[in-house]
Amino acid sequence: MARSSGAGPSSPAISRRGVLQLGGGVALLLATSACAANSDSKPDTGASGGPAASTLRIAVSSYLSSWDQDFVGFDLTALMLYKNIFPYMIDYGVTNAGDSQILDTQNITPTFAESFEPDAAQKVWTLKLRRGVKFASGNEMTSADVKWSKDRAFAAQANVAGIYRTIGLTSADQVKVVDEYTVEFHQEFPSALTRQIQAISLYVFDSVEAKKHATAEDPWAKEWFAKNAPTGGYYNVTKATQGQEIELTANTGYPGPDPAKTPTIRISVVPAAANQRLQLQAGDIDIALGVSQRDIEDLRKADGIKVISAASNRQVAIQMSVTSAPFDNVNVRKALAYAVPYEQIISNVYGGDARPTKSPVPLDMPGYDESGYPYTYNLEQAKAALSAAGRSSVDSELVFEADNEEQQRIAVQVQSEAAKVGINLKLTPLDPATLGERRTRKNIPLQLTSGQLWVNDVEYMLATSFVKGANLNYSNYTNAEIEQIYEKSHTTVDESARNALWKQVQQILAAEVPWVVICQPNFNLPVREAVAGWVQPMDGLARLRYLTASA
Amino acid sequence: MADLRAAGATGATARVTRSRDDRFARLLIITGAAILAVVAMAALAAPLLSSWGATEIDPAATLAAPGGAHPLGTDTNGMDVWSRVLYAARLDLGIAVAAVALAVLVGTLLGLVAGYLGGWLDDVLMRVVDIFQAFPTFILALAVAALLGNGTVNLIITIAAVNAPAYARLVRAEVRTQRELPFVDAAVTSGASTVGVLWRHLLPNSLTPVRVIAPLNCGWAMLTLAGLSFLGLGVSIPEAEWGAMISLGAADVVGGRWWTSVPPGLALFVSVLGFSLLGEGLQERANAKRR
Amino acid sequence: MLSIENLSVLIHRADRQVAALTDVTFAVRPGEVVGLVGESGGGKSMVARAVVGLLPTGAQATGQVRFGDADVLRMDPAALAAHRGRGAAICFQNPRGALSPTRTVGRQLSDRLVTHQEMSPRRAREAARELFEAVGIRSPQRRLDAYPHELSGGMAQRVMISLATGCAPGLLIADEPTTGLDVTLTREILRQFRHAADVDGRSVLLISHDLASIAEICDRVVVLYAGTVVEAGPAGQIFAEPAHPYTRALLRSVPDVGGRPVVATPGAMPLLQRAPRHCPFAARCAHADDTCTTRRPPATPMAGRRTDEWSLACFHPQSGPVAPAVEPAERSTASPTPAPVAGDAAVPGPAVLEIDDVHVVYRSRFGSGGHHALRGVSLRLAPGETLGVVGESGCGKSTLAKLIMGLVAPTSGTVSVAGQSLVRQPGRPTPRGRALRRLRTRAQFVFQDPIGSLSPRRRVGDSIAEPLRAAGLSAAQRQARVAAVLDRMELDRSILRRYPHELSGGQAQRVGIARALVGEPDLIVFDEPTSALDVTVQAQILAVIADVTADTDRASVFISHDLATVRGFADRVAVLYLGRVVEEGPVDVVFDSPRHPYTRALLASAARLGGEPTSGAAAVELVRELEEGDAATGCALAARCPFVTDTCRSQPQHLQPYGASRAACWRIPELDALIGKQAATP
Repeated sequence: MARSSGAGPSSPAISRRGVLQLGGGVALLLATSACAANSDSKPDTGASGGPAASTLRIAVSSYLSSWDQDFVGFDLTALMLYKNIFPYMIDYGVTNAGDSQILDTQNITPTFAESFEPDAAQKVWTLKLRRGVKFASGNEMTSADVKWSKDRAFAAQANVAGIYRTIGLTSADQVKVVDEYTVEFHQEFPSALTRQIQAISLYVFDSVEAKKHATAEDPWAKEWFAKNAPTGGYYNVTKATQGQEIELTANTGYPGPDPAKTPTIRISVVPAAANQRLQLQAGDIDIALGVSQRDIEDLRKADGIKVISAASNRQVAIQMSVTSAPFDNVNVRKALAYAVPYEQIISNVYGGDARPTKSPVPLDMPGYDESGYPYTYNLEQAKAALSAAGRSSVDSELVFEADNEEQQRIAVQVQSEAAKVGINLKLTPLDPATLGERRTRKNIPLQLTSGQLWVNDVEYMLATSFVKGANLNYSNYTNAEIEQIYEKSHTTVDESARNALWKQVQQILAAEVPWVVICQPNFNLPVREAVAGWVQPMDGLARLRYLTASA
Repeated sequence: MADLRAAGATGATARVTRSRDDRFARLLIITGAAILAVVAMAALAAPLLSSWGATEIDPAATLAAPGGAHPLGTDTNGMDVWSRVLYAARLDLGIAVAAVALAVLVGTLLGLVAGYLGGWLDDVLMRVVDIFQAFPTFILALAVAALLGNGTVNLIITIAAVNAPAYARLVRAEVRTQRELPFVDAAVTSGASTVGVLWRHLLPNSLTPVRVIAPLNCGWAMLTLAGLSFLGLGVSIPEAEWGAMISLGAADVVGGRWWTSVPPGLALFVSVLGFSLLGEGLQERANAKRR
Repeated sequence: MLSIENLSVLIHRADRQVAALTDVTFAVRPGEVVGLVGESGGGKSMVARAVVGLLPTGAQATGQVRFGDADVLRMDPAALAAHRGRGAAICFQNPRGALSPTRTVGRQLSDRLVTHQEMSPRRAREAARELFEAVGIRSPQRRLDAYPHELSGGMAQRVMISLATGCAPGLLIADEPTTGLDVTLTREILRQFRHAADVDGRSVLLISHDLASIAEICDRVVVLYAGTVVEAGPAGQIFAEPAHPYTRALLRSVPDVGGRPVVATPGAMPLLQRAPRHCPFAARCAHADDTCTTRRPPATPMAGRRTDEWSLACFHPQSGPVAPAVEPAERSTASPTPAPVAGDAAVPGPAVLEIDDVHVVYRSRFGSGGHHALRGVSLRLAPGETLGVVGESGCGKSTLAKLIMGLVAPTSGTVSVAGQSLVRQPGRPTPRGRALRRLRTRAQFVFQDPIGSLSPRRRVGDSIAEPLRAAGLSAAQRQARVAAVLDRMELDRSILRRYPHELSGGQAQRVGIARALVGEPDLIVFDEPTSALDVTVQAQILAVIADVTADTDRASVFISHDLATVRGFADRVAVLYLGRVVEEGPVDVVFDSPRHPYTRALLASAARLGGEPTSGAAAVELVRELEEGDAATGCALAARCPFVTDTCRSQPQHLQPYGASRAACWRIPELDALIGKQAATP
C-alpha cells in the first residue's frame, strides 16, 4: 500500500494468543530469563555454516490476509511478501549511505522489464519487456499480461488506481498495447513522481492463468488470486501452510540485476514477540520481524545477535478528526498538541531511539521545514489554548491498535498528561477489523497512526494524507489552499519552486494542526550475526533477495 | 465407636469426634476471613500505604527494578507496581463481590418463582438456564463481555449473568423440597398471598446453600474478572486491576523483569485463597451439622 | 438369655453430658416376650444399643450386660462381631431407612446368611426365600429382587424382621416396630414376634411407646422413666393394676377404643445430666412427699412375689385399677348438641362444611391414568359439631383434608366452607385475590407434624399471627389477639420470641392450635395432631383439643387412623376406605355396633389395653393386604372382603341407612349370621 507502518520490530508485540501460550511457561521462563538478561552465551546449534546456510529463516507476526496485491487491506506481512514475489517491471537500485546500504529512490531501473523511458514531453512512457521471461506456469510474460493487470486495476478499483491518479493515469485506455512486448502509458500531465509511482505499481499478473479462473460474477478472478500466490517474482512460493509457514524458492528465471542470494527462505508465523525473541536467541531463526522495543534493547547485549539500525521516515502521530467534536475546534487541537510529552515518550517508549520532529513532513523528505510544527510540551500553554476554546474540560476517546505495545504505551503517556490540563481521554484498543470499520464510518475523534510514505516527496504526502478524500486522511482534513498547491505541484518540476510550495504547506498545517506529530522512531531489526546484505528499504518492507545467512 | 472395655475399666471419657470436624471448619472460616480482611483493609488504606497514584506515571523510571522510591519497581508505563497492586484490590474485590451479589439476587428470584409456581414458567426459565449453563463459564463470560463492552458496570453485569444460573438452580431445588413441607401449606391456609409465601416463608428457608456457595463463588468471580482483563475484555487501560497488570507485564518476564506480573499474580492468588478457605469452611460446617 | 445388671450410661457431648441410663436391671428369659415401655428420651433405645454394643461416641457405660456368659460391654471386637446378629439382632424403627437403598432386599438377607451362618450363596438365596415366606410376605420369589423403596411400609417391616431372624439370633430386639403402620398391619407384625418367641424359642425384647399394642403380646413389661426402671412385672398385672404412679399416669394418658376418657399428667419428663439422687418422677407425682425428693427409691419386689416377678421403685405404691370402667353409653361432657338420629336431615343450622359427591383424581403428568383419591364423598357439618374421619393409609384422609382446606380442587362435585367455595368450581363464582385469602382464614388446619408446620426461620409470634395478616388487622390488633389465644393455650408470652426448633413437640402443637384459633375460624381440621407426640404429651394435647372442639360456634373435623383418639371427642364419625365413605354415623353407634365389614375388621384389630373385645360385634378378618386390592367398580372392599359375592364386585355400593348410622354394603342384614357361621367353622 502507499504507506507502511513499521514492518520492523515495533509491530504487534504480544497478541492474545501468544500470551495464553506463554502462560504455562512463565515459571520456567523466570529461570531462563535470568540467563538471557545476563546474556550467557548459548551454543549456536546449526544457526550458521553447514547445510543450514542455504535457507534463511524469518519469523513474522502473522500470516498474510490475502495474496492479491490489488485488493489487500493494510497487512504488513503481505506487503513485505509482495515486494519479493510479484514481478515488478522496474525497481529501486541500491546505494551506500554511510556504512550501510539503502534502496536508492533516485535510481529506479528496469528489473523484469528491459526499459522504461518517457518521451520528450514526459507524458508518454514506454515499457519494453524482455523476451522469454516466464511465469511459474510456463506462460511467457507479455504486454497482454501488463494490459490485463492494469485493466484490472482501473476496472475493479484496485489500490493501485488511487496512486495512479497522482501521475495522471485515470482510465484503462491510457494504457496502450503497442506490440507483444511493448506497452505505452499516456499520462494526462508530466509528473516528477512517475518513476517512483511506477516502481511500486508496475507489478504484473499471469493473465493467462487468471482467465482460466475468471467467472461471470468474478471476471477479474479476485477470489482465486486472494487465495493463491502469484508467480514470476524474485522468489516463487513453493509451499504455503495457512497460518503457519511459507517457503520461498529463488526464481532462477529472473532476468535482471541482483538476483536472489539465498536459494530458500522459510517464513514462519510466530505471533508472540517474546517467542520470536527466544527463537532468535536460540538460533532457530535468523531474522525476527516482530520483536518489541523492549526486547530489542535486551537483544543488543545478546551474544550472536546484532541489531541493524537506521534512521527512518516512519512517523508516529495522533490524527485528530477536524469534523467531529471536540477536536473540530482548532484551539482544542492546539491544547492537545501542547499537552503531549514528546521527550518523555521518546525516552520512555523508545529508550531514546527516536528523533523528535517538528513537521508533518518527514525529517528526511526534501522540503522539510522546522516551522511546520511549533508545538512543544507546555502544560500552561495547553490550558490557555483550552480556555481560548471556551472549555475547561473536554472528554474524548483515543483509539489505537490492539496488541500493539508501542502504541499502548504512547497512549497511556498521552492520557496521563492530557488529563492534567483537563482533556480526559478514554483509551480504546481496537482489533484491525473494527478499526477499519470505524475508519470508514469516520467516527474516531483521535487515533494513533504509525507509518511511512513510500514515495519520498511532499506531493505524494499530500496526495495520500492531506487532500480531500485521501486514503490516509483519517482526520478528514481539507483546506482550499492546500488543494490549490497540490494541483500546482503536479506541473511544477523545478526543485526550488517545489520547496517554496512545501514551505507554504507546512505553515498552513502548523496553523491548523490536524495532526499531533510525536516523533520518528528509528528502524531496528535484530538478526543473527551471520546475516549479511541488508539493504535498508525506505518503506520498511524487507527486500529478501539481497540477504545471505552466512558471512 | 468408643472402646467400651477401656471406658468401663478406667472410666476415661471419650471426646466426641464431632467437635474435631467442627474445629477444623472453624479454622478454615477464620483463616479465610482473616485473609480477606487483610486484603480489604489494604484496599481501603491504599492511599496511606503507598506513595503513588494508581495510574500515576513516574517519567524517570520505566520498568525500574524494585528498590528506592518504588518498593516493587515500575511497569512498562512507568507506574508504581506496589501502588497499583493495592488500588487494584478495590476493583477486584469490589467487582467480584458486587457481581456475586447481583447473581444471587437475580438467581434467587428466578429460582423462587420457578420452583414455587412450576408449570410452563418453570420449564421456560429452566431452559434459559440450561442454555446459559451449556457453555463453559469463561467462554460465556467472554461472549457477554464482548457484547456489553468494558467498563465497571458492564463487567459486573457480565460476571453476574454468568453466575446467576447456578443460583437459580440451587434455589429452585431448595424451594421444590421446601414447598412440600407442611409449613407452606400452613402459610397458604393462613391466607398468605403467593408473594407472601415466597417472601416470608420460602425465601428465608431456601437460602442455606446459597450462603455456603456465595463466598466460594466470589473467588471464581475474581478469577473470571482477572481473566477477562488479561484478554483485554475487562477494565479499560490503564486502570489498575490484577489481571490487566499480569497481562501487561507478562512479556516482561522473558526479559527477566518479574516484578511487573508476579506481585499482582500473588495478590490474586492470596485473595482467591481467602475466598476459597472461607467457602470450604462454611461447607464443612454445613456438613458437620448434618452429621 | 439376657441379663442386664446395674447398667448406667453417661453420654458426653460437646457442651453437656446426659445420663441416659441409671442402674437399669432386668432380665429376659428364653422364649419370653418382654416389653420395654416409656416415653422418648426415657432410655429405651439406649438399652437396645447397649445390648448389641452400639453405644454412640462419647458414651461411658458401667455395669454388666450379660449375654449367656459373656459381658457385651467388655467384649473385644471379634467377639462383638459374632455377637451382633448371632447373639442379638435389632429390627430398627424406620424399616425403609434401615435397609440399604441400592441393594435388593434378597441380596441383603443372603449377605447376612452368608456371613453369620456361613452358607453358600445359592443356599442362602433359598433360605432367604423361605424366611420371607415365614414372615408372611406373599410371592416371596418376586420380592427377593425388590429394592427397599419399592416396598410398602408393612412389607419393609417384614423384611426387617426376616433380616433380624435370618441370623438365628438368641435375642430379637424390636425398636418401635409398628410406628407409622396401620392398625391391621400392626397386629400382623406383632403376631410375628409372638410367633418368633413361641415357635422358634427366641427371646424378644419389644421396645415401644404404643402401650395398647404391647399389652396383647408381651409376657412381661419393664417401664422406664428418665433412664431408670420404675416398674417391672407380668404384663397382665402391670396393664391392669400397676403400682407405680408413673405407670398409672401413662395408662391414663392413652386413649382407648372403649371410650375411657383421657387424663393428662402435667409436666414433661426431665433429661438428666447425672444419675438422679431422688425419684425422678417426684416433680409430677400426685403422691410425692419429702422422702421422694431426697432419696432415690430402690427397686423392691412387691409384697409376696420374687424379685424378678414384679419389682417397683417407689415409696408410695398404688393399688387398684387405673380408672373405673366406663359404660359405652356414658361419655365425658362433649358437645351439647343431641346426637342426630337418622342421617343428617335433622342437623340444625346452616352447614359450615358441605361436601357434595366429590371426586378427586390426581392426574399423572404424562398420558392417561391417575390416582382416584376420593370417590363420591358427601359430608355435611353444622356449627359446633365434631366429625371424626378414620381410615388406614391410602384411604384418602389427607386428600380430604386438603380438599376441605381448598388446597386441592375437586375433579367433580362441590365443596363449600361457610357457604363459599375456596377453589374454582363450575357454576359458582370464585373469590379471587384478597377476598380469597380472607376466605381462607375461615377454615384452619392443625398439622400432624407440629414443628414442621412452623416456618423454621420465623419466630413463633410471627407464625401465630399469620392468619391475621390476610384479615387485614393492624399490628396492635394482631398482638392483642395473639395474646388472647396464648392464654387459652396456657402458653407463656416468652414463647413468642422462640424459633420452632427450640420448642418441644407439645409446645409446638399448642402453637399450631393457637395459630388455627387466632383468626376465629368457622371450621378447624385436625389432621393426626397427636401421632407425632409422646404419650403423656399426647394426653395433654388431646385435652386441649377437646376444649377447642367443644366450642359451639365452630365445627371441627378430626382425622386420624387411631380409632381410640377419635372416640375421644367426635360427635359423628365417617369411615373411609379407598376414597369412599363406607360407614357414617354417631360415634358411639359406629364404634360399639359397627355394621360394615371393614369397620368391623378395623375395630377388631384395634388394640385395647383392657384386653376385652368389643361388645356386640364379632371379629371380621380381611383376607389379603391393602396393596393388592383396589376395585374401580363395585364395592371398594370387594378384593378383601370375606363375604364378597359377584353383586359386590359389579355394583358400586352407596350409603344406606341402617338404624342410627349409614353403611355402604348390601349384605349387612345377613352379616351377623354369616359371621356366626364363619366362627363355627374352624
